[in-house]
This record gives sequence, structure tokens and C-alpha cells, in this order.
Amino acid sequence: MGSETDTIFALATPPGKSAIAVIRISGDQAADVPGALAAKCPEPGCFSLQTLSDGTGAVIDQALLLFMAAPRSSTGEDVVEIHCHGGVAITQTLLGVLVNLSGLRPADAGEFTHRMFHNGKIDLLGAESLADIINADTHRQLVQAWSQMRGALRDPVTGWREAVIKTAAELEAVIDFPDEEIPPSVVASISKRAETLIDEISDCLDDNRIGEIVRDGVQITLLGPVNAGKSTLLNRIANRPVAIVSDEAGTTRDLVPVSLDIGGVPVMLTDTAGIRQNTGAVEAEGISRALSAAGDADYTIIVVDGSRDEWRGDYEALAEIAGHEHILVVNKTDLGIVGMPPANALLMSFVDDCGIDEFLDYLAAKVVRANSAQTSAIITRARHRQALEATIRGLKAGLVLDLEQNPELVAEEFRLAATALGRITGEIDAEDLLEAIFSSFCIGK
Amino acid sequence: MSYDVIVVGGGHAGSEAAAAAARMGARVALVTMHLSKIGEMSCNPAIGGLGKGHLVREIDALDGLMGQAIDRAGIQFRMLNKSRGPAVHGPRAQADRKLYRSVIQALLSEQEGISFIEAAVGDLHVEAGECRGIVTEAGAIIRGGAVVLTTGTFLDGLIHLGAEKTPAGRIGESPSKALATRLRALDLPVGRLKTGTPPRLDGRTIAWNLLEMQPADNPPIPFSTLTSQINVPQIECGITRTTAKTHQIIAESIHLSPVYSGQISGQGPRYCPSIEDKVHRFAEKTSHQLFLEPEGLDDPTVYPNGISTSLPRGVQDALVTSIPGLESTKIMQYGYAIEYDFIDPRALTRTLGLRQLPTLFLAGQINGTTGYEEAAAQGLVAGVNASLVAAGGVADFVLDRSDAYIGVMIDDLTTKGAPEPYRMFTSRAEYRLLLRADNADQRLTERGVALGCVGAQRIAAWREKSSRLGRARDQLAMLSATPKMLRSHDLPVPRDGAARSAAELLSLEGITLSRLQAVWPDLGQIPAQLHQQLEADCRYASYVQRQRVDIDALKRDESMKIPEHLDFSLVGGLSAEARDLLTSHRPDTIAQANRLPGMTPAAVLAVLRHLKRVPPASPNTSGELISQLAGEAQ
Ligand SMILES: Cc1cc2nc3c(=O)[nH]c(=O)nc-3n(C[C@H](O)[C@H](O)[C@H](O)COP(=O)(O)OP(=O)(O)OC[C@H]3O[C@@H](n4cnc5c(N)ncnc54)[C@H](O)[C@@H]3O)c2cc1C
Ligand SMILES: Nc1nc2c(ncn2[C@@H]2O[C@H](COP(=O)(O)OP(=O)(O)OP(=O)(O)O)[C@@H](O)[C@H]2O)c(=O)[nH]1
Ligand SMILES: [Mg+2]
Repeated sequence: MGSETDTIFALATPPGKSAIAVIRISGDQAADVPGALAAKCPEPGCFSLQTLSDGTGAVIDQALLLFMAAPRSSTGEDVVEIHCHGGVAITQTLLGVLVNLSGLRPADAGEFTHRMFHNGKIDLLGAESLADIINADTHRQLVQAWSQMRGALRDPVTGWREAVIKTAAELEAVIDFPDEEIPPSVVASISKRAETLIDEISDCLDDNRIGEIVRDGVQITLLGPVNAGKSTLLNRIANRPVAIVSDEAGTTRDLVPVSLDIGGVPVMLTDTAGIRQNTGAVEAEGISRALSAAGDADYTIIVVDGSRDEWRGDYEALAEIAGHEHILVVNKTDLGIVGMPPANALLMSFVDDCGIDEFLDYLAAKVVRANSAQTSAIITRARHRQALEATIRGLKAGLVLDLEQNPELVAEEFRLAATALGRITGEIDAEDLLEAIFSSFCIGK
Repeated sequence: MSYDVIVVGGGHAGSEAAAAAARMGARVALVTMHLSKIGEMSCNPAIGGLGKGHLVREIDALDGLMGQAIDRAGIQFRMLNKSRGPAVHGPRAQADRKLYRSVIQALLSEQEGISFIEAAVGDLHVEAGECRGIVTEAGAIIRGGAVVLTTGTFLDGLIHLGAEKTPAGRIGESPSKALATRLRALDLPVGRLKTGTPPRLDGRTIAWNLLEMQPADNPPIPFSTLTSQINVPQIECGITRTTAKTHQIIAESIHLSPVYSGQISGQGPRYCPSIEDKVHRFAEKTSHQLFLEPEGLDDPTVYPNGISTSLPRGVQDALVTSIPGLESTKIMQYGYAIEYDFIDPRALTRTLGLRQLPTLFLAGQINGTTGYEEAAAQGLVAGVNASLVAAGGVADFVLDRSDAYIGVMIDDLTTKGAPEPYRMFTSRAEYRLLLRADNADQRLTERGVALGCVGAQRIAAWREKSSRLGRARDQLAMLSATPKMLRSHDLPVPRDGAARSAAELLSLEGITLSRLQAVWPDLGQIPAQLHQQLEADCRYASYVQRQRVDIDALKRDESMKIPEHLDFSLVGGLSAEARDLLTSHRPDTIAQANRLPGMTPAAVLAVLRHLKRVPPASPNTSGELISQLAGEAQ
């Protein structure tokens, strides 16, 4: 890791050939870089077309240069961008010139983001959103990441934290000014406000984890006995022949994953080897991979061949492995089903082409669960959820206590609640409490 | 003749500073304008209250004067918040003003090693860039190894009463002009603050029989652990309220108040507003309560707590007589406001020594605080540290935020400065459940003993108490009983079949040590004075454990020192503002940097990273998160 004061640079576009490529430079010496390429640094906030040459005077490229002066730049430092033609020789030559300039070095992974954060350009949520924006694979992920960036969680969290601080401040006034006339309504309003907060935050938590699901995606594993039609189903959902289908038992040996976009949620659907006893070493390994993939998945789709006598026993054994979150597909209804399928079964036949659309709808509903929360706040990471849960724990613990007799303990619990909220974006300070006290009460001598 | 420590000012800071330095074995000169005014209470004759009472107990734990003095001069002891948890009990007592002064003077003269010099100090004596004494206004040099300045409200003090302006340190006393000029010339960050005081009333002209009266606690609970009982007679206070007429008088003449006319620029304390401020800022409140506090047992003067004002005399007369019970009351001395210089305490380290002149210490109102207790507590710390440097050692007596309210106050002052007069509150202490008034001795006395600022009498008393506490704790941990057995003694315990120790039982609502004696008669051996302490320890045990986790984290940061001469321009990722902030405040530690107002977590992290020179490794810090995120974004 180099020094934090160096000027750093990196190719901001993927390596290889492209119409244009962008090289980004950030730091005190960024504005000197154009000079080193026999060009002029543009005025702050301006683009200019320039010819770039190397030390011998040989032309490297004609490129657009952009200069953003600190602190009004993405990183908060001086930033120069070189928008050159996206040829391998051009970018390599330019990077070669830069690396030889003293005080400049290639950026470490994530270093531009680091600098943005350190210079206060983004807070923690902003940094998270930026990562999500860049990593978005589906439109829905992108929409979600942008709304996060623009305050979907920051705004309500800031509001809640202010409310907790105000509530705590009223309590502090009760404690620190016992001879003052704190209106009795204040004590009542303290519990009232805490209750309202609990309701609002609980409501936000009651979101079926939709934000996290959209961000993290969903893992689904197909599981079933050999020849049940798992690979057939996979190919159908993926809409292309991904896995080999044959009537030979034990066709699929390895895990066959496909990435899908189901209603904006990125889904990784994995086909697996059919489960059976007494197999060779390779197939046994495939089966063990299948079982562990099912263990890791968010959902398991159990596919059985309904025309076979053993399908029920197979299903029960597999359901035990798959656990609670599974979907049962009883396939090959065209061949007739042995016995009565259970109520949760989805019946299907690829020969008659029936039950498939119903299955797809069912799967989409399952994956893209409705957000039952009334608020538009979104939780996109486990740490947000943990912090909000800790907030509620603190508020509830405070409400259980007697406000008149133990205000100091209630205040302590509320303090924890506020700290938990503060962790989502920043930190909490006792001065905040006092500020709120004095602005809302008349405190005499 | 040369001294080890020279203390300038005989107020509350100066008295404690001189006494503490002398207890440390230093030869001390206490130089003050009037020896007869040593220990004078400039404003309200009361000690303690929420947060302030905690400070007094801490001063006492370090063998300071204030607790003992008020125990011998208090005429109305009241424990504030008595019905609430012990962490927010606030011991308070009104003082007989004259008695208090004379007790302080007696305690100081009993202390060996202090010489008293009556003089106004006009200059510092600086040798080879180090402060090595003072120069009186008359031109005499008094040499010493270290100097503690505790000049209170006197530096360029200016009293305002209506449109009248009088240079003064407090009413009837000259200001300190020469020294103020000298300090400004030293290029110290000097600012201006103001405070005010109410008119004093003639108690013989108050209709006491018409007023609601507030009695003292019976029995009164002393401040000092060395006091076994209060022998001063206890009195009652009167309570009355302002009326619509009072508010009308004020509203009509508010333009005559020097604050509102623009004559005063210094910032006053928001929590101690003048009556004109209260009427103006809280217009919706039609009446304010005031307490009528006698200033002494044989003194007719009454202090009306709640109507501090600097309105012109005529308006004060009208204002007072508009209040029920005061219709024919005479004013003995008019209220006034005072503006004075203070030194921005961010120029100090947590030893209260000036960064710029390490043998010069500042304590009390000169550092932007308000209140006797705040002043006294700083005096003690400054006195100890001054004696340490005078003896050729290092000034390293620093209390942390998790040690004491004193630590909280000094940390607040040295990191945040004093944008308004600073007063202690319990809400400033994040470890309030741990820093209680009842356990100040457990937190601090041993520390004081190790330093050498605790006298033999207190050491003996403390050791005795400490071993009793230890035995009682062992006993409480060992005894245990089942719910069934406890219920047979009518104790409210959950019927969960779980056996509980006596200590665990004390954490439950409604269970006290005296109730447990029914189950275990042996507990009767624990002295009653220890009950509250032990009960509070058990009551808060689980919370304190949780806070310990925070404290350990804080201490880890705390221990991360920022090198004195660190060039912040070499720390990468610092915004220009953060760099300026750090350069001008020079925090000693990461934790202090973290508390600078305007400091972003990101900037603190940048400094931390710089100090560690490695990428952040501890989990759950935002640094870690950012690293992960940055990885994801690549
Ligand atoms: C008008 C007024 C109103 C106040 N109102 C409040 C209030 O509402 N609430 C509250 O908590 N506190 C109030 N106080 C503040 C309280 O009185 C002080 O906080 C406290 O006394 C400060 O203690 P100290 O030791 O710092 O200084 P002081 O008690 O002011 O003592 C300073 C001492 O230094 C001496 N001195 C000064 N300059 C020199 C010199 N050059 N040479 C020699 N000796 C010198 C003085 O003679 C004096 O003895 C008020 C004070 C005043 C004057
Ligand atoms: N009659 C009938 N045959 C089907 C149906 N679905 C799939 N098949 C056939 O069943 C056979 C097995 O299908 P696969 O999709 O390969 O089965 P699999 O579960 O992947 O089998 P393994 O990979 O061996 O575990 C193929 O010959 C399919 O054409 C159906 O609905 N009805
Ligand atoms: Mg297959």
C-alpha cells in the first residue's frame, strides 16, 4: 500500500479495445499530468481537446482532457480525466508515461472510493450505494441502488435518530433540572414518541427482506431423483439448452448454474445430478455436490417423476434435506400420476406442455416477494437490519422501565438506540442532546 | 524567596489548586487581590446540584476542600432526584456565604506549605521562554517553578447595569486589567463571555408567611466522606413566581437591557438565562418559578434564584415588587451582568497546562466554565500537575471520561472549547451509570493516594471503608437462595426456580439490603452507610458491564497517541477543513480527535490509518466496511 498523499491514477474503463478509454488521475499533482504529455491542463470544470505526445515528441493520441479542481471533484482532490481512443497501445503508452512521473503511482483497488469517503464526499450509505450502482446487473437493482444513494434509508434514519435524540433530550432535562417545571405532558410524550418510533421502524423491517433480496440475488437449486426432468425444467426456464437432456439415468453429473433475471431479481438457478444409491465414484461426487448446493440455496425445487411408484418416498427424503423453503414439482403428468399428490405440489408435463406457465408465475411470486412495509425506506444490507433491530431493542427496553423512577436507565437504553441508528450513517454526541434540550425548554437558574 | 507553585487568585479554583499543590508537598504561594475574599461565592450561595454535586464528591475523593467546606457551612441540604436512581442523585446545599468563606480560609491556613500574599498580579515572569513566576502590579517579582492562573471573572471584567458600565472583577472589586493586556499580548486565543446575577433582597421585607416553603432534607446527607454528620442548623427556602405584570414590565423595558441594546457582545450561559431572556425567548410561558434563598443564618440578605437581570435599577425595583410575597421588598444590591476575558481552553492539554507555555496552568472561569464546582475541580487538577512539573517531573495527572466527571469536563473543554460558559450536567457523561456521586471515592481515592495528594486521615478512612466494602461484596456474592425461600420472606422475586445470589437479588426492583436481612441476618453487619453504594453497584451491574465494552474500546483509542509534532499535511485523505481543525486543536489522542466538533468519522479514520500505517483490520469499523465496498466496486 502506497502513501495516502500520492497522486494516483488508473484506467477507469475495461482493458482491451474500445471506442474510447478513460484514465483517471486524482491528487495534488493531477494538474501537472497534461504538461508531462506536452498538453495544457484545462480550466477547472472544462474539457479541452489536446494532442498528447511522449517525451520524444511522438504523438500518442488526440484526447479530451477534463480537469476538476479540489474540493469540487468526485474524490475531493484535484482530478484529471483523459478520454483517449480505446486502443491497447494508446492506453499502455499513456499509463507508461504516468508511472514514470515522480509522486504518481497506480491506484490500489478501491482507492478512489476510499478517497471519496475520506474527503467526506459520501457517507457510509453513499459508499455502499456506489458499489451497488456499479455492480447492478438488473434494472431493478440499479433503480434500488440509486434510490439508496439519494437517501431512501438515510432520510428516514436521520429522522428517526433526531426523534430518538429529542426524546432522550427531554428525558435528560427531566434528570438534570429536577427543580424546573417540566410539564407532565413531557413525560407522557416521551413514551408516546418512543412507541411511534418502534412502530415506524418495525414497519420498515417488515419488508420481506425485499431490498436485500434484490441486492444480493437469490440462489435456487434443482434437486430430484435421476430422470425426473430437472434438466428439462432448467432448459425451459433458461429458454435455451443449457444442460444435456436424455433418458439415460444420471445424465447430469456436475452443477450447472444459469443466471436469470426474474422480475428484476438476479437469480442463480443450479441444475444438479439426480439422486440415487449405488453409483460410481464420479456420480457419487456429483450427488454430494447436489446435496450441498441444496443446503446453501435460498430455495430448492424438488422435481420428481410422478409416474413412478417411489416418487412419494423420494420426495419425503429430499424434503428433509431441502428444509422448509422448497417447491415440489410432480412431473410427467402425461404418463399418469401414482396416488394423490399433496396440496403443495405443482403438476407439470413437458410432453403436454401443461403446468409450466403456472410454475413460472409461482416462482416469480416467490422470488419477488411483495414489500409489505408501508414506508419507502429500504434496507439493502444485513448491517442496516441489525442496526434497526438494535434500535428497536433499545427503545423497547426503555419503555419497559419506569420513566419517573429510573429515567437514567431509560436514557441509557435510548442512548443505545440512537447509537445504533447513528452507526448506519455517523455518530452521536452528548452535545446533540444538550442542543435539543435548550432549544425546547425554558431552563431557569 | 522562591516557591514551587504560585497560584494566582483565591476563588474556588485557586483555593483547591493551592491546597492540592501543598498536599503534594509543594511550597505554594497563593497570591490574590484580597486575602479576606478567599473562598468568596461571587453569585448564588449554593454548592452542588446535578453533575456539580458529582464534581464535589470527586474533589472530596481526591482530598480537596470543597466537600468538607460545604458540610461545615451548608444551611439547607437537599438531595435532588432522590426518588430516582442513584446515578442521578444530585447532592446540593445552600451555604451561609460568610461561613463558607471562613471555613475555606480556615482549611487553607491549616494546610502546611501555603504562603498567602495579598497583591494584584500584573504580569507573568518568563525566563528563557518558560513561565517561572509572576510580577505584581506594584512590580515585585515572585519566582516559582510553575504558575496556576485562576482569575475568574476578573480579566478585563466589565459590569453592566442598565446603561451603566463599570470596570470590575465582581461588584465592588477592581478588575484585572494589566494581566488581561499581558495575556492578549502572549498571543493566546482570548474570547469574551458574560454571566449575570440577580438583585439581592432584604429578607426582612419579604412576606414569608404568604409563601410556599421548601424544607431541608432530614437528615442532611454530607458531601464529604470525612463528615459523619452535619451540625449547622438547617433553614427553609421560599418559593414564589413571576406574574403577568412582571412579564409586562420586562417586555416594556427589554430594550434597556445591555444584552438587548447591543452593549454586551459576550455569550452568556443558555441554561442560566436572565429573566429578560426567559421572558423574551419563552414568550408562551406566562410565569416562572423562583426560589428565595437566605444567604446566611445571621444575614438578612436573600438570593432570589431565577431572576438574574441587568435591567436598570428602577426596572429591577418594579420587577421585584410585582412578585407575590415581594410587594414591599427592598433591594439591597442590584443585579448585574459581567463580561470578562477567557482563554479558549483548546489551548490547553488535559493537564490544564498551556501547550505554548507548559509551566503555566489555567483553571476555573478563566477557561470558559461557570460555577464554583467546575472551577474547584479544575483547580485541583491544575494544582497537582503544577506541583508535578515544579518538582521536575512530568505533568501527567489526567482523568479520562470513564474515570470521572472531572475527566468529562476537561476533555470537553480541551477538545470543544467554550462557545458559551460551560456548566456540568449528568447528560454530558456517557458513562453516567458508572460515574456516580456515591462511588467517587472508589473511583478516585486510590489514584489520589498513588499521586500523593491524599492526606493521612483520608487514607485511613478510605482503607477502612474499602475493606468493609470488599467484605460486604464477597458476602453478597456468596449467599444465595431459591425463589421459594425468598417468597416465604415476602420478597418480590420471579417464580422461575432459579437460585439467586444476594448480589443478583439487589438488581431487582424493590429489593434492598435491609429487606434481605430478613433472609440473612448476617447482612446486618454491613454498616448502613454502605447500603446505598452496594445497592447501586448491584442495580447497575448489567448496564455497567455493557458500558465497559465501550470503555475498553475508548481506552484502546485513547491509548493511541497522536505525536505532538505530527504534520497533518502528511496524513492522506484529509480534507482541508479537517487538516486545519487538527492543526489548530492538536488533539493528544485519537479519541480526542474524534470528539472535535466538525470532525468527520472519515477524517478520524484517516488519522488512525496514518498512525497505524496499515489498512484497518478491526472488524465492524466503517473503515473495514469501506475497504470491503471498495473491493466490491472494482
Ligand atoms: C456576576 C456573576 C454571576 C455569576 N453567575 C453564576 C451563575 O449563574 N451560575 C454559576 O454557576 N456561576 C456563576 N458565577 C460564577 C462563579 O462565581 C464562578 O464560576 C466561580 O466563582 C469561578 O471560580 P474561579 O475560582 O474561577 O474564580 P473567582 O471565584 O472569580 O475568583 C477569582 C479570584 O482571583 C482573584 N484575582 C483575579 N485577578 C487577579 C489578579 N490579577 N491578581 C490577583 N488576584 C486576582 C480575585 O480576587 C478572586 O479572588 C457568577 C459570577 C459572577 C461574578
Ligand atoms: N413423458 C415425459 N417425459 C419427460 C418429461 N419431462 C422430461 N421427460 C423426459 O425424461 C427424461 C429425463 O429428463 P432429464 O431432464 O434429463 O432428467 P434429469 O432429472 O435431469 O435426469 P438426470 O440428469 O439423469 O438426473 C428425458 O428423456 C426427458 O425427455 C415429461 O413431462 N413427460
Ligand atoms: Mg439432468
